[in-house]
Amino acid sequence: MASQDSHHDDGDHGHHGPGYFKVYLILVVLFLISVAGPEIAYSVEMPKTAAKALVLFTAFGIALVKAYYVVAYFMHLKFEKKIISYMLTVTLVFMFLFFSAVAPDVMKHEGSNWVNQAAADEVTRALKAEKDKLLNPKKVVIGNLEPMPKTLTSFARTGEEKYQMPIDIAMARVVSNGARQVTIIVPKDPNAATEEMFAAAEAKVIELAANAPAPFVPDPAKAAHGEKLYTSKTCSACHSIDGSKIVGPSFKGFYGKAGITDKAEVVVGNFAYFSESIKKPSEKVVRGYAKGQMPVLPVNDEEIEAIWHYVASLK
Amino acid sequence: MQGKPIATNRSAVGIPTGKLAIWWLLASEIVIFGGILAAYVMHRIGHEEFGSYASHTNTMAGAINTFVLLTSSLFAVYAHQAAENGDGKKAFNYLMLTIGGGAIFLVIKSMEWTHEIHLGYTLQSNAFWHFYYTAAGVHALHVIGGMIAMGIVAFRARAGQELQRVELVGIYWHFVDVVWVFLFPLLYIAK
Repeated sequence: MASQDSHHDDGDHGHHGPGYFKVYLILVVLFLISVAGPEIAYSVEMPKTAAKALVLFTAFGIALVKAYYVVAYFMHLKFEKKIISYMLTVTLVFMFLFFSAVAPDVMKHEGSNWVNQAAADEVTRALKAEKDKLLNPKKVVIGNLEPMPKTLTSFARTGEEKYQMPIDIAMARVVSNGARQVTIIVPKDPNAATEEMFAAAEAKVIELAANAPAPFVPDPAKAAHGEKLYTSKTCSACHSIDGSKIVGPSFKGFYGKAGITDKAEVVVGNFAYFSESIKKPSEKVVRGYAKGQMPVLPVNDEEIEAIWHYVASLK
Repeated sequence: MQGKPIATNRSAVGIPTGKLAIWWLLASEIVIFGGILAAYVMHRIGHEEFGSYASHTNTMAGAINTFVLLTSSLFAVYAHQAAENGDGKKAFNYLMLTIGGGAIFLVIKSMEWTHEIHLGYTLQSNAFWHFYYTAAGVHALHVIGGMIAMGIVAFRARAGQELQRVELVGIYWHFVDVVWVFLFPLLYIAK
């Protein structure tokens, strides 16, 4: 262990240049500059070459200086026998030689007699993808597409910019990541009607439409009473008679028309369905209309029949 | 000093064998890290898109880690000073602080990596990330190894034994610091 002169207590190795703490302070200052340089380069407006030069100089140049200080003073290399420095230099020189020799083949993607097609293609692809990302808004798809999850509780990356996660986390991510398009997929109800069921229902509807029922013959007295009830019992508030959609379906042409519920059941515009819908409003709601909207209204059977005679005569 | 292997008492070049050995170790590490980083630089120059991939690294975390390692190196050097003065207990304390710095470094790194992996940037994502995780990972393994070695040396030093090893393990630790000094701008700043 080298120890020629006396040691001071303030961290100075009397024979060894600046004290350790001084070196440390120099290193910290250099570190701060090396971080500040790129920050300035990226946030302040300046020509691209100037920015690059600033980053190179501060981030990399300073890295070399810091390394020198650590190696020379902390590691004492400056004060060791030269043989160690020669050892390291030889290693570095050989490393440098090795990499210089292969660098052209790695850094470049084509030479006089060869082409690295894969690498060149990758660069083009990546740059194009980058540009596309900028032009097209970021899409975050929340929820797996297939197979449909039972619940959205786990957090998994399922593809490029696709995640499966709880909705509140997803929303937070939308805000923080700046995603501009979000698709929310709610887990499918396993008991929900399938595509095939709907297709079958639609076929049945077509079949029923082909066999139209006999036209309805209303009782004029009942129909007139029913028309008054239609307003007084607040049916008209949600159901139009001219085909326009309010809250519930219009009753224009209701008689004999077939429809499909959200459970892929086929319902026909007859008295049975009509009265069931009044007594149990959300049992068989046709597709496209919300459940739970129609209240249970105070109508008795005789009134239901009267309203029916009015509604069924609406063409 | 009885029963020690001959190698610790002789030296062909006038340098204590332990110190020479550490420097040989570091010379071989030049190949490892020089290799990884030089390969990275070459690929980086050939692949412009690495710049945008690199923008997903957490520069703040990297900067804090740089400062943490720098400070831990200071403690290592204070430990060496204490050992030179024969104060094994003080050397132990400073080495423990150095190990603590290493631990903080690893904690910050694991938080960083957890976040990046959650975002989907894994070891297999693309070439940039191959380099990122490999370089930083090999470095982190060296940090862990250094912490273990330092722990062993520290406990011996506290018992007043083999104090010359404090300097040697410190040299290794400074090397870990220097590697990070180069890793940081290459992986975190070049965007």
